[in-house]
Amino acid sequence: MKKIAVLVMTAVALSATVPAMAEMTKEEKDQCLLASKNCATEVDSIQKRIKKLNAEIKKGKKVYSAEEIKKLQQKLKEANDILDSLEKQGGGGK
Amino acid sequence: MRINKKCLAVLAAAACVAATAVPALALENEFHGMFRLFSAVNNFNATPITDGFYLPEGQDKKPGTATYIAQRARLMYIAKANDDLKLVTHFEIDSRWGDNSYGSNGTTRNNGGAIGADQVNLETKSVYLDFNIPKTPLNVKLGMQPFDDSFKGVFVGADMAGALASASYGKFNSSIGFFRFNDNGPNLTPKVLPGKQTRDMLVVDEKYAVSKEVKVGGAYYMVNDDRSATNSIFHTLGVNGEAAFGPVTVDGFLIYQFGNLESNPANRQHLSAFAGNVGARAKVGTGTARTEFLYVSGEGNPGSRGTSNAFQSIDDEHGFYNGNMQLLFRDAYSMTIDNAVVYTSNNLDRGVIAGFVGYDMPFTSKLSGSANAGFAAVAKDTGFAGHRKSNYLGTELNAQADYKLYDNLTATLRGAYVILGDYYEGVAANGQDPQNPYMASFMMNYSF
Repeated sequence: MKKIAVLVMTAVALSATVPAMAEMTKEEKDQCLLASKNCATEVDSIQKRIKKLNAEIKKGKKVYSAEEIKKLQQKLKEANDILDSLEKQGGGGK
Repeated sequence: MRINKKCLAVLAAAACVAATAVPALALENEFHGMFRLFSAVNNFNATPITDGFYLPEGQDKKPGTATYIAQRARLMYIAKANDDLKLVTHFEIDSRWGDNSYGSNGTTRNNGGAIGADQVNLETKSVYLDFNIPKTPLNVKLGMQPFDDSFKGVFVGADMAGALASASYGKFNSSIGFFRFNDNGPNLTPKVLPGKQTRDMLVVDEKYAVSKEVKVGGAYYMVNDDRSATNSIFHTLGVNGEAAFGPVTVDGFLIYQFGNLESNPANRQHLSAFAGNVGARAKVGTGTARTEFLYVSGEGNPGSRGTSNAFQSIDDEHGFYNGNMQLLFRDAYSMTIDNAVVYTSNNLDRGVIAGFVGYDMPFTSKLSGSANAGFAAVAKDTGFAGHRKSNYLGTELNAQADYKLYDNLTATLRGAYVILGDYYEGVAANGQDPQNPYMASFMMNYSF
């Protein structure tokens, strides 16, 4: 019994540490290859990050502590600064 | 005992798998970037009448029609060790289609659009370390970094090498910084030691949030220019503010400049100049209405008096973009081909008086439009290329339509037309009036 319990726990531990890309079954289409969607290494664009941060900040104190909201706001400022920096005019130099 | 050993072996194997599944370093690699394609048909940019400034004096009244397609890519890589420590790097690649390839014209940057490409044209914009000092509210940025003044860009806004320390505590936000614009000594013949012939800027900036709706601030910039035999030091001191009254937001600034201008040892001058701005934006209907007014002082007799009233902006490393102009003031979407009637705030010592109105309208979630009008006049007629009939430079009318193909890819169609003022009356060759400038442009903007 003990042996089975240890093996089950091991299996659970293993399943938690393997990346999400293993979620796909053999029969499913690989959307990453097919449509560049749901790839394991996918990251947010700067616009998507700004959208997500705004959505989280909107949840307010029901979900986040005051300190956490401040941190999210700081991250939102950083993301906006990055976008401004990318789109900043000039740089030609006369 | 045997069972326990087997269990231990399984657990050890699981631990090994877990260890390899978790990254060895918690370093976050962040990549961002942008791509812009800018195509234009116009009688202004890339013609003989523009070199940063609009200079139609003595030129053919018809500058011809220039068409060009230019492109820009920017790539940003951020190596983030954690929320408190990161290295920011930012690069740029510019070219005009067909301009040059294989480095054959002897230049590097802003080239590489001709057949074959293969041009060395990667520019480094920023390389700086950004970190928080543990157990303090202090953030430090060290290295080549972007810096913008607190006065809507009328003084300086550029990449520059330096150190900037900022702290947020309660309703205050304070910054102090040092930037080195130039250190010319080692480039001279004979060589001068580094640190001897420099142009540096000291920055002190304070912001205070009175309430959620009202913010006030002040900033001080000292520029010490030691590049010539004499030493110019001038001070830029200003206040700024922003207040929201229901659907209306009003903001503005007031700047005074003083100090000594000694670049010409034969005529050392005191500086006494100022600039002021007020702007407002409000929700009107489903869109947003905007207005701006700008005054920058000029000097009527540059170099001839003991005191100069010409506002000192930093080279062309700045721009007032809030009027959303395309030809009258610098175009926010310009890349290496970048010209304007009022190209700098100093405006060839003439200063400027300008007013703008605009309206932004979202038609659908993908389609939006914007219309703008603005006028400009020189604050002082300096006698540049002769005294003029009037100080009035002209009025620009422009419009643009933006269509979002994706969240981060936008196609933009624009048109702009300037009705020249009497400042330019009879200044073209044979005493003729120069043709009114116009531009039609199309852009694709992608950022990620």
